[in-house]
Amino acid sequence: MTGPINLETLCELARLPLPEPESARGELQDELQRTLDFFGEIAAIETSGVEPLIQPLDVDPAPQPGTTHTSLMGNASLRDDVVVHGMDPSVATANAAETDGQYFLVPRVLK
Amino acid sequence: MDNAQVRVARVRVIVGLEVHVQLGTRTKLFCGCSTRFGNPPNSQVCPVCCGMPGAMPRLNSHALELAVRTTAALGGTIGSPVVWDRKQYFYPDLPKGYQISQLSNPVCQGGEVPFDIGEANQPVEMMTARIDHAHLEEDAGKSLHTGGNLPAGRSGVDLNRAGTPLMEIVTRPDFSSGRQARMFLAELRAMLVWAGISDGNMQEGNLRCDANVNLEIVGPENTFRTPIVEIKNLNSFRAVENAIDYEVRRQQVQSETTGSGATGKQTRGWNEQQGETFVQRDKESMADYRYMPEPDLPPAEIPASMIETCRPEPNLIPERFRERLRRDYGMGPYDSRVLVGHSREAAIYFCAVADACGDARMASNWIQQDVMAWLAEQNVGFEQYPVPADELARLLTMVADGHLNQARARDVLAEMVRTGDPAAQAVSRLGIVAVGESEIVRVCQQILKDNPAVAAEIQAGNLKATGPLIARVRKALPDANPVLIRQCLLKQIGE
Amino acid sequence: MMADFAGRTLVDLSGDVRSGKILAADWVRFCLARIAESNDTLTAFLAVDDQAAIQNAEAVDARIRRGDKVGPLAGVPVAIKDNISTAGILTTCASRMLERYRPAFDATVVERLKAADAIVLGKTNMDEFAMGSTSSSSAFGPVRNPWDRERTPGGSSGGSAAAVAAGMAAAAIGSDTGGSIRQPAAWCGISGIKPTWGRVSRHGLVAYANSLDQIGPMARSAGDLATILSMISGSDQHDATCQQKPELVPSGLLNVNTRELRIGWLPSQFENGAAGDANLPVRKAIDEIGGECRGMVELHSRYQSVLCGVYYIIAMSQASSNLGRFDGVRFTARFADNADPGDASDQLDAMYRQTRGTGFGREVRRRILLGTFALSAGAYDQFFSQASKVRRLVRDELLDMFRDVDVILSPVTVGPPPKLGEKVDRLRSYRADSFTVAANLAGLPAMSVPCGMTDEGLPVGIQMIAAPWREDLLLSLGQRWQQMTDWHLRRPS
Ligand SMILES: [Mg+2]
Ligand SMILES: [Zn+2]
Repeated sequence: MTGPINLETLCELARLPLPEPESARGELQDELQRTLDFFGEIAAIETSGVEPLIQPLDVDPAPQPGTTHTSLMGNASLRDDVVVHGMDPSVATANAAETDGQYFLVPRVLK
Repeated sequence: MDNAQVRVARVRVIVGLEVHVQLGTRTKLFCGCSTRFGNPPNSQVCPVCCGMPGAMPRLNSHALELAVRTTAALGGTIGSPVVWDRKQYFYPDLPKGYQISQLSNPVCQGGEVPFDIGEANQPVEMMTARIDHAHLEEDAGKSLHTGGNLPAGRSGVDLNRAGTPLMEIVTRPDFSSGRQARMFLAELRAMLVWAGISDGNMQEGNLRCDANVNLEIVGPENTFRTPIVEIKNLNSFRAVENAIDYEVRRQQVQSETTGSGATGKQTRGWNEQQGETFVQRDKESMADYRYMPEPDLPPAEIPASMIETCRPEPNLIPERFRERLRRDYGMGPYDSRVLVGHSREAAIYFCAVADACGDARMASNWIQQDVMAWLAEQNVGFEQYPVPADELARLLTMVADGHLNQARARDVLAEMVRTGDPAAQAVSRLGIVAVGESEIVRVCQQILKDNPAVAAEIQAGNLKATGPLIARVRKALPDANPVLIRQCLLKQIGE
Repeated sequence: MMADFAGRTLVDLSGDVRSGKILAADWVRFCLARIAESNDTLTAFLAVDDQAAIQNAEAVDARIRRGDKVGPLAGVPVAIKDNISTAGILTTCASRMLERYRPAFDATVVERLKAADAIVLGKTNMDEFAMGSTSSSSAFGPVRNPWDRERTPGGSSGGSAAAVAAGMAAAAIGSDTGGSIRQPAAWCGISGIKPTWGRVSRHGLVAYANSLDQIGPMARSAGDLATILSMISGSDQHDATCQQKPELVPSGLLNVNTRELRIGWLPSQFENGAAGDANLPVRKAIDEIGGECRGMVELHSRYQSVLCGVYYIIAMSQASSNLGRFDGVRFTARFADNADPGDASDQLDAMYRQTRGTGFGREVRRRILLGTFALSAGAYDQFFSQASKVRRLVRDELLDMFRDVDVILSPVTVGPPPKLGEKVDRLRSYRADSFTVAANLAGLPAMSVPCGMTDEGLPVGIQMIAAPWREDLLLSLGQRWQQMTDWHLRRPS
């Protein structure tokens, strides 16, 4: 019911290694395929004209009373443009796998 | 010899732009970190913009307001409610593995930007670029590949810029040369800066441009289009123009050899030194960004009334202002381009001076020569010019009325700039006393009497001989207006 | 004198702490002793900060002695699921990927517990990145069920459930994406509530599937849940989806007149052995509760058979996106041999692949691949988009049901907890979530409370679901049920 998946493409997109040894790939591929076929059963539900539901919000947090309509300030889900100190570089990089205390270091990327 | 070029009948250049504009907010799009440029690496970061696990975005209301303002300035329709999509790819300077952007319902839909493509001193030639859409998104961080104290074989990632609010403005493919694209970009930049949307500082990367370029080649046998090439990261007006023109030539040459069977879509970079574009990525076969609606940000409704209150006053759109200078102030295309092209403050200052002194031409000359020269020398803007418009207007009125000559007026202006004094005060501080007409008449009579031979020469028609006499009168009366002296001398000789 | 710390509710005990009858430090020491005794076998905790816990408890006692004001959770020892950020304390999500990650910040829920003077004992084990329902995909060993150590406690908040059931903590904080609080609560014989989506700030919760995730308390009684929930709820400057709603005091959450409630249930959930024999106590409890309330309504759903598919597509899609940030650069472990050949960009890619291939466990990698597929260009419409549309239909159907009923009762699980190491077919285990995922899809509050025992002496839970923001109905009904019965007082031996 679902077109065959391309394990290599998926691993490339997700930056995951292909299973080793090669024989394990077919097994994973089959297993994923079976799961997707199960998921694919949702196609049976008629959904034309139905809007996707992304968040189960009951109301969209609208501007709160007392705010003017010319400004978005005071909208509950928004933030005022006020600077808040975050972290010092030493804190930001404290958990990094490789750092010089200033930068996060990665294998050299040429551009 | 059968030359392929001979067979090509006509080439149509098709160029569209994607412009990333940094919005002029104090803080980032989804967190309270500062957007200031040039601070030490990773000193303006927090869990949100570092993409730390569990940190959640919260939308900056000012960024949203500036997006609405952009929409109003471009004449687009608001896409409300504002919703977000994640654009997913891996890169070390993209902290979350996705960029929060807008795909399905961009905040600005449609719109257009009229702009002038006339050469500096040529007549106005208007053109309109259509805007496809403009959307809000967050910027990525920066990768440092060389320099600093980076260990060998390592790149450094600085996330200070990560999360900075951008508007990505996407045009329709309406340009047919690098020059048109450059002129559009300059107009767009001015419009956004005038409307207080962006600082437009290109050195700091506030405005970055990608250009999509291809050609439609109408040959005798068939018509085809070359594959679209996206040139990334054009960070100056010059780069935009040169890169597009280079790419047009390159595609033309290539199409002559390969014909319509060219390669697929390409991403290219621009090498400023070599003046060439170069391949960055061939055929975007792997570019599947797997956009997904952002679940952590609720839709933000934009009140319908907001678009009206955000619409810039017509006066504050550069092209409208140029039009006004031409129509209401009698300025030519050149002067209106220079005044408006300098800055919004320059244009407003000019109008104030011209209105107050009643002589637009004179105001324009003084502002373009004296005022702008001083500002350029000091490297500051009009808002820091020490002489208010009405005081400059007073000074110019004295000149127009013949109370001051140009040279002395320059001295007075220099004094006004130095001290911040009003014109009248500077005049008296310099000991300049207005020279009355009777005084000039008296001195002229004396000089003519002392130089009868010269007077006779002038009477005989040699007007050039007036010069030395004027100089003598001015020696006696340094503050007298030379034009008046000349008139007075000629009148007396005529009698 | 050692008080009966394991046998009484935290509301009781914290009252005694505040009045000086018992010491917070003793309560904490009691829990730490239990942890020392059983954690080796149960692996409920991944990290315990005993010194800080004792110090903090002694500080609370000192303040009480001085007559200073203390918070409503004064001295209450709580455990935190390891996917919730604790400043400076390991937060691993039970993954090698984060084996050394110490967050720079406290989750809002942790901040609020501390502000209420609760004592954080440590971090609890779970399924890696909350992906599972047995707590055995942890990189640090499976959690065992205190009722039967050969069995799973459920998951993914299995460590939190086991800790409360075994008396290692008075309460615990869990997270629930598709049943991860309710299902382990049911299998461990405790009470747990998944609040309305947006009730409790998710700031600091390492996201699995943001639009389904919700943090909630796990404890021994509905009354205890109400006390904790009231302390951790409410809008938060860090979470734009979190909302302020009025009924936030425990008394408000517990004072509904349950006789007025209309009870709904779905007969189909008990047909064809859908719920298994293990759920006979649930069927019985529905009648008993119905008899205490205003009436019972039989409900029918059109979407029961596709709930799991919809749920897993959305969860895995969001997971594939959320887990992109675990890349070996900023805060995760990095697994890469530097000798990797090839040009520069190959080296970066190799680092990504090796880090993600090694740092993530099997099930996590699998779900990332499936989510990646569901969002990919050719599959988006058929999978993510279709699932999100059915999600709306599911929610609308449920909201419709709440016009006729106040609380829906249902099983939590399809059967008793499986034995550890028992081979379970993946698709079957995905389908086993069919009773719990609807509440997450619709964002509804849902609670599990003990309602009986299987023949083998394993606890069984009943689920109660209400309309958005009506946790008060669930907690009041749960408390009423716990006045009628003593299932919640049973303890594993
Ligand atoms: Mg973009
Ligand atoms: Zn930040």
